Parts: sequence; structure tokens; C-alpha cells
Amino acid sequence: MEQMFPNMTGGGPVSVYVEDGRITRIRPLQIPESDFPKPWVIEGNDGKKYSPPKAFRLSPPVHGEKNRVYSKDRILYPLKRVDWDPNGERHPEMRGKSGYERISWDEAIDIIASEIQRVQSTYGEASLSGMTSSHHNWGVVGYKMGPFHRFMHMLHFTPVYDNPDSWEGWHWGATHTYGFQWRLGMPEQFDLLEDALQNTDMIVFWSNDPDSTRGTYSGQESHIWRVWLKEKGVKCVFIDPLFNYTAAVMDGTWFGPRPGSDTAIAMAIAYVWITEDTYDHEYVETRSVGFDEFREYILGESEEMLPKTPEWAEAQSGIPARKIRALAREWASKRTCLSSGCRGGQGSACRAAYATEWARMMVLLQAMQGLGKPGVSIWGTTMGAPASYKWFPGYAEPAGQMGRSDVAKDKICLHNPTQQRLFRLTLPDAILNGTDCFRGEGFCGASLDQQFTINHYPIECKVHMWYRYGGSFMGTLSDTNKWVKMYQSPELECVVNQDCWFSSETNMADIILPACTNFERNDIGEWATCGGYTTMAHIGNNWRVIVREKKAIEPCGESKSDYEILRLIAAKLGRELEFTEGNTEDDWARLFFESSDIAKDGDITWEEFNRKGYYIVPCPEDRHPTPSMRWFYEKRDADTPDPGNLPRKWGHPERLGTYSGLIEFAAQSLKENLPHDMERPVVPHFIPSWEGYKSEIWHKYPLQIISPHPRWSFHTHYDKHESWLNDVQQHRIRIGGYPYWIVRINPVDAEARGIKDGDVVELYNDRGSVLCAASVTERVPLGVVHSYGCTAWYDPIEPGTPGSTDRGGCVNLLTASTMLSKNVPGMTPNSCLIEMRVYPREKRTWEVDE
Amino acid sequence: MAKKYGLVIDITRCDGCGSCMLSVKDEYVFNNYPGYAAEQPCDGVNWLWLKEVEQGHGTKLKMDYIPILFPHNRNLNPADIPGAPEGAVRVREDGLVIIDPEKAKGCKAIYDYFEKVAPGTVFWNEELQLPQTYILDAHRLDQGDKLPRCVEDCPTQAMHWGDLNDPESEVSKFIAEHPDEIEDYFSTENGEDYVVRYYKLPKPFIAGEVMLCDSPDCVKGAKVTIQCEQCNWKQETETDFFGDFEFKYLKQGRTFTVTAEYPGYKAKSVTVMVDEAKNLGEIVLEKA
Repeated sequence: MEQMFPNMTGGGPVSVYVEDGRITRIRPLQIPESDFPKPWVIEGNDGKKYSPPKAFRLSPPVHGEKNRVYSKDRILYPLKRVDWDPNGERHPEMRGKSGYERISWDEAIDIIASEIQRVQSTYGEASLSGMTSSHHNWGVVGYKMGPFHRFMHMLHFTPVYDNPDSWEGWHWGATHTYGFQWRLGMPEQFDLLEDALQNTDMIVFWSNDPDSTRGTYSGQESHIWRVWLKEKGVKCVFIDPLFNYTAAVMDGTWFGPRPGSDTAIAMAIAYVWITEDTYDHEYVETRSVGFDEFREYILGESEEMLPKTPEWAEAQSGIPARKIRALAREWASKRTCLSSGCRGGQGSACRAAYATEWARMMVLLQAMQGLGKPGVSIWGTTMGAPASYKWFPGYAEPAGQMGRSDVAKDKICLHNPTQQRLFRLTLPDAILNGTDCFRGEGFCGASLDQQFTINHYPIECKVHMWYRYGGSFMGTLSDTNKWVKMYQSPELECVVNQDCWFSSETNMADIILPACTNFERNDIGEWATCGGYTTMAHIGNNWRVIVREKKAIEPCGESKSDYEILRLIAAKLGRELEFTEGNTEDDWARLFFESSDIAKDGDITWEEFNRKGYYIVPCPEDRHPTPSMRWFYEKRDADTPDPGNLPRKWGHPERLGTYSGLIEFAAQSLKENLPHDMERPVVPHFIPSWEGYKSEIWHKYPLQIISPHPRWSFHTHYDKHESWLNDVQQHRIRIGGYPYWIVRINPVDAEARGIKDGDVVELYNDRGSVLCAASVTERVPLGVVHSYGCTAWYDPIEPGTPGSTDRGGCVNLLTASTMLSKNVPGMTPNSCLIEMRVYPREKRTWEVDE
Repeated sequence: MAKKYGLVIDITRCDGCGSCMLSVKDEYVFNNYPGYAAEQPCDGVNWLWLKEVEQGHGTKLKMDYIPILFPHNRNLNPADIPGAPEGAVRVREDGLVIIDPEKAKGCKAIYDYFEKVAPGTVFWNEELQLPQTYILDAHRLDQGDKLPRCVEDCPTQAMHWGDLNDPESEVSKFIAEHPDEIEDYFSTENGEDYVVRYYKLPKPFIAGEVMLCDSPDCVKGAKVTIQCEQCNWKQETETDFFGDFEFKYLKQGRTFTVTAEYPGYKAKSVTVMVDEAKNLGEIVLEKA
């Protein structure tokens, strides 16, 4: 007898079908048509009425969740590294090389609890550190920050700051032009779908491939919006070194600039508008500061600066000056939406050298055209559906975390006395060197000033025990050979890794703990709702779906829920009640549910929700659209449903989050804090990359590689663990039985190197060497190669050897640790030079002849 | 009236997301449907797959995806398949073709036959010694499901499905809107009548840019005409604000003359054989 269980993923709500204790299939959440509330209707300026289909559109790899749950990569039992003896030799140098032996849960819990006690009593409480990865599961109770943070803060660990790895330039740059620091630099997106269908003539997609990055968690809900816009006749222009998937389906005009030149193109557009006087004077005069300084820089009127003409930009970018001029003129004469970054963007331009300058220019360009005017927006095209704005907890906000929420009796996370912090990007350096100094506080969402703080490590003591939850960093961070070096450091006496699958860092651990997926435990979760810095993220969906995630099958092998694992360790440490407050996972689920507006307003009771398994929140029929930034354009108080809006909290709802409260062409926050920083100057500058076209090392490594977020996996997730993706020919290509990651290279560059389509090639520079399958295509211009970042597969020919050639496609072994600029601690995977050569068959001993 | 299933795939809406491909795997991997289909091997094969078609050069590129699946020939006579045992292949009244997972066992001839008429849509399962294909979820439709999984999961509603005998069905309405533009991917020269058909399969195109000899700017509104040298077909367009023009969905193998005109300048013609998509590059008009 087939049973059906509702659940939620990072790419949409699902129905899990189970027979005889095994998952048979997984479909988009199945609900009777009568359970769909009345859909929203948008009347376009073409007279058509647009309404969403009664269906939920999952992210593609979510269709393969069954394959992922039963993956050969699942960790099924607790494991101990064979040559790691907590009472004797620890052999840290063997991490990544040695095998594992199965141990019992009792042994594993004993070892971890006694190691925590030993390390903390020997060196101090702060000698314990650890951190999570993102996106492998979904749920308010059992996923990521909830139980892990509650547990680790209870032990007074040293927290590690995240970097905003997907949108660095927006966080460190755009915030200084228009604020939105409480959204980490990405602008609000409310009601912009309606605005576009009613007002927008042209969309410029700049370093943005929404059909691939999908607004993060919203599956493919917005794809139909772009179909509507295309069929409505909205002109689309794409600026991206890759002829990306959205460009392909939207059938617009494509320009593939050299990586690192986008800022120059943007400045040339500003040049055309200034010299031809086609910008919005009234807006600039009354809603911005510093335009004169900006104009001076663009026109090249001082400091022996060159005028930023289209011809100047052509020399940087390879895009003909006449095309830049034509784009600028059309942009100014039409109602143009700039689709760059911001939930769905996360393209290569914002994760590169001096990417602050590009993100600032994106905001300033739209400011010159009246940002907030009908049809003139910064819109990723993946968010902004009409919706109810009732609050439901998300995993990434304090109110949705069991260590910080009011539903907890003791908000444990708020009284960890440890002062010192580590920073993810420099963590390996901190461990290897024993000291660290870095700027900023990771996600600087509370104020602009957070970006300028200086942190020193250590304050209390050095870290000697590292507890890792997940393990994706080999694929997602930069220059990742240094992570192997860190893991092999004797400074780390004990490394624990807790995960559902073997990931790229898993076999660097001494103890491996098997966690179960959210199909194997209960939870609650709303689709796409993460809360906090992307509050109301459900506006990326056509429907608001809240699901009672129900355990569909028993945990695979001996795996356990994350909460249960941490409860067992807490119990061993004699602190179970402190950790759980006597709550089961279901108790926490109910507490969080009861804290939501949905429960408080009596929309559905817990009993009914628990029985039914889902609730679709209706969109109010008498809705009052509040398009993003319209309030600012119309000089009103902010009316968007953004609870994080800081100026509103400060009593100035009419202002932006900048120092002046206005758009800042000359950033007052930079002028005040770092007035002499010429790498993020007060007025944005074009600065050629240290590792880019014609930089010194370009003569040795003449190919610029970009590695934006992947299309088929969610960062590293689903790749490798979901073997079905190895048969997706745009994701991996099987050669000799080995599924190689793909690198895209222009036919001319390929021919010069004797590379043919389907060859196994080596990508290399002084930092590393990686094998990929070559796809020879005109989708990348001359001198540029493309390979998605974020493989889950780190598979060095010599395991555990930093610098060994990797077969898994871990292109981040090649990228530099160099930050965006000297005071901007963000990562720069898209400022990277390499060379490529055919990797001959005789060296590929792991392949089988077909 | 009995049902007559039809599926038309709109290529202009397909962005190659592969949801259809993966949901077919989900439906058939690890699952047996006696009388309909034995399980699909977990790895190494996709019963529904995407063909990527890249055309053009330079910045004038197009990329299309064609979901390739068993087309289900309503006119198939199973007796025409050499070596196929009685009942191993059956054509249902609704047009779906089932390769019986029991009766077809060991019969590689079925695979060989379909590999000729519809290559890449029937698969030989070495382990089970069985020819297999995607049956459009006939087992579910027979239980009352409204849509095959691949159609259900298409985020851009590129797949139009339904009963061709019902004029109100999704597929009937779509065909009624585009009566002359529904195509087949596989040859129909032997009278095949396929359930699975397509709208706007990729065809070669000609693109280019018109420029004026004495202007550094892009030329908007230049008149560009195209004429087929073998027939009387003619079309006219104007350059956009980038000075670009394109003519899409051209007949492969024909020769076309493209003429660019702009007031005050001499018209210029280029003649090309369209064996594949052509980027004519910059057509510079001289002063009249």
C-alpha cells in the first residue's frame, strides 16, 4: 500500500511516496485543486491577465531526491579514522589519506564527549570551534543553525563568521550606495513582477542567469514569469561572459565581455548619459549626494584620469563602443529594469577583484534613471510575486532558531562569553599560522560600520578541536588546497564531521557521524522562507506553501537526526536538559508553529496542520502593491513589508540605510571610515584585476576562468550524491566510466591547444591542477573559459596531498585567496587565470575502455 | 469517444532544465510496473533526454533543447518488427505503444528496429535482456492521473498534453493556435503518426549587423530583406537599436539573398547557402 508524506526541500515542497518502508517516488507536493486558494491576478499593460498555474515547480535536482536519499555516498555508520588514536598517536598528517573503521554510536559519543572535555579543560573553552555548511536539508527545527548553534554556543565555542560568498560585491559595495545592509546589500524585491508586467520595456540581465540560480530556494517558480515577459515582447539584453541559459531561452541580445571589465562598461554607459544629458536630473539632485565627484571621475576631468568613454570601455571589455553607446541610449529612452545580482544574480561579476565597484555602479546607473520609477528597478526576476506577508519562522533568523528564539526558555546562543571570532575565508591561515587579523563581521547586517571592524585571533586561546557539520568547502571556497593543509595540521587534535553524505571534507575527519535527511525525521518548514536578511523570501514563489515535514522512512543505516546526535553528546556531557529544555523535535516544531502569525491569527490549528501536512497561505484579494523603492522615488515613507528596514527603526522611514539616507555617488561611509582606500574609493573606480586580462601573470596563464554558481546542483548539493546528475550531459560527462565536470572553451582557444570536444583536459596554474571534460563552444568568448564552481567531488589522484591533480572538477583549487581588495574580505573566484592542455589517456589509469 | 493522446513540445519555451528527464528517472528507477515497464537502470541511461542544439557564431548564438523521447507511432504495426514475438509490442487504442516487459524479454530485434526508426528512444537493458522505453506513464494515466510526469513537472508549460479527440484539451487548443507549425522530429516517410510532436524545432538562421560607412553608431531601422533563391519566399525586417537583424527558422540547404538598405546609402546584398546558421557580421553600406 503506497503512502504519501509531505516534506520540504531547498528547491520546493514535495510529496514522498513510500511502499514497504522504501521511497518509491517523489513528486511536487500533491494537493487537491480545491486546496489552492484564489490565485493572484496581475493585469499587464498588454491587457492580459497573468495568474500562476496550480502547481509547484521544483528545482530540477529535487526530482532526484529519491536517488540522493539512497545514494551510495550516504554515511550509514559512525566511523573512526584507523590511525587516529585519541589515547595515543593521532597522525594528523594522515587526514585525507587513511581509511576508516566502523564504531558503535556509544563509542563515537564517548570519544567526542571526552575530547570536548579534554580539549576545553586543557586549552580553554574557546579551543572548540566548528561551523555548518548550507542548503543540504530543510526545516526550522532540525536544520543547520538551529540545533548546531544551540549546542555549540552552550559549550562556549569560537564561532566562525561566514562571508557572503554568493554576492560579495553587493554586500561590501552596494551597501555604501543605497544601504540595504539589513538585506546584506541586495535590494528589496516586493511587487516587482507586477511592476515589470505593467511598466518595463527592456530588461538588462547583467551577470545574471536566473534560469540557473533560481532565486535561491524558489525552485523554478519564476520561469513562467520570464516566459510571460518574453512572449509579451519585452526586449532582453544579456551581459555575461557565458551565453547563459536564460539568454538562450529569452532569445535576446548577448554580449560576452572579458571578465573584470563590467565596471568599465557600466562607467561608459554613465558617460553617455552624462555627455548626452539623458539622466534624471531631478532624481539625482534631490535624492543623492556626491554626483559632482562622480561626474568628474567619469568624465575624466581631474587627476589625469581618462574619460570613461565607450571607446575606453571597448579596450577593456572587447565589446564594441557603438554597442555600448546604443545600449546606453536605449536604456535611457525606455523604462529599463536592471537585472543584476540580488537573489538570482550571484553571477561572476560580484565575486571578483574589486567587485564592490561593479555592484556600486549597478545601483548608481539605475539611480541615474530614477530607481523606483515605474518599470525602473533592480530586479533579479526571481522574486516579487504578490503574496501575504504574514510571518512564519525561517531557519536563518533568530526567531527561527532554537538557541535564539523566544520559544526557547533559555536563549543559549546569546550568552556565549567567548570573544574571539574566526573568519571562514582565513580560517586555514588562522589554524596554520596560529594568528589571524581580518576586517568585518562576516554578514554585516546590523550596520555599515560592522564592515570596518578589525578582529584579532586568538583572544582567549587557539582552536584545537574542529566540529564540522556538512563539508562542502573544497568546492565552494577559494584556493582550497589550503584547507587540506589546515586539516593536516597537528594544531587540530580532533576533527569531527557530521553529515548525511560523504562530501569533499568528510574524509579529513577523525570521527564521522551519520546524520539523516529531512525525509527521515519530522520538522516544519515554509518554502523558500529563510527569514532574516532575505525576509519574505516566499515572494519568489507563486504560492506560499508551509509544510509539516513528515518522516517518510526510517533513517538509513544507523543515521540519526542532527538534533538527536547533539542530544546524545549533550547527555554524555551531563547537559541534556540544558540542550533540549525537555523538548522533543516535535515539541520544538509545535512551539515554532505556534509562534507564527499563521497560528496566532487562527488560520489553521496545529492539530489540523499536523493532520493535513500543509497549509497554502492565501494571497489577500484586496492587496495593495508596494513596489520596491517606489516610496523613495515618490519621496514617501518606506511602505514595503520589510521588518528589517533599519532607517524605519531609527525613526526615519523616508531614508535609505546610507549615512546620508540618500543614494551616495560618493560614499559617505567610506569617506568617514577609509578615506584613503584607493581600492574601494569614495567614488567608485575602475581598477583592473591583479589577475585578469593582460595582468602580469596573464602571459603565463592566458585563459580567464569564471566559475559562477551551478545550474544542476545547489552549490555542492545534489552533485555527486545524486548519481542521476552524472547522466545530465550539461552537468557531467562520462568518459571511460568517470563522470568529469565540464569546462567550456571557445573553438579558437581549443584548437590552439589541440583540444577537441569531449577531451579530458587539465586546467592548471601555480595553485593547482584539475581535470575536466572539455565542451568546445562559442558560448564563451575568446580567452575565457567557464566551469561552474561548487563541485561536491574532490578526488585528488594522490589522496590527502595538497596540490595533487583533482579529477572531481574542483576548480576552486585554482582560484586565489586574494580578497576583493585590501579592506574588503570577500572571495574572488572569478579573477583567475589558468592554462589548459589535453590530459592523455595513458595517464588516466582510473578509466575503463568503453 | 476513445481517447487519442497527443503531446506537443514547444521548443521556444524549453530552457533545458531537465525536470522532465529526472522525473522520468524517478518514476521508473527502482520501480516495476508489471504489464507496462520493468525498472529503468539507475545510472547510465535516460529514457527521456535533452538534445542541446547550439547554432551560430560570435555573439549571434542560439541554443535550443529538444526533449527526446519515444514518439509512440499510432500507425505502428507490431508485425512489421522483424523477430518480435506476438504481443511483445502493442499499440493501444489511445496511441501509446507499450513494449511488454515480459513478452519482449530477450528480443534485441525490437531495440534494433526502433534504433533505426527513432534512434535514441528505445534502450537495451543488458541485465534484464529487455528493450525498454518511456511509456508516457501509461500505468498512471490508466489509474486516472491527468498528466505524465514529464508534463507535470515542466516549469514553463512547454509540454502540451491531452486528448486530441477533445477540442478543449490543452494539446488540441495549442494545435488549433498553430495548425501549420506542428512538426515531427523523426521521419514520417513510412506513414508514421506520432503521439509526440514538436513546435518550432531548431532551424538555421541568418543574423548580422548593418552599419553605415560614415557613422560610428549602430543603425536602427535599416530595412533588411531576405529572399530564397530556390523559391519565392521573401521576408522583411528592420535592424534593432544595436543595428542587428535576424531571420529565423530558415529551410536548411537553400540559398538566400539578404539585402540591406538605408536612405541615402547604396543597398548591399549578400548571398549565402544556409547549410547551417550564418552570422553575416557587419554589412557596411556606402554612401549613395
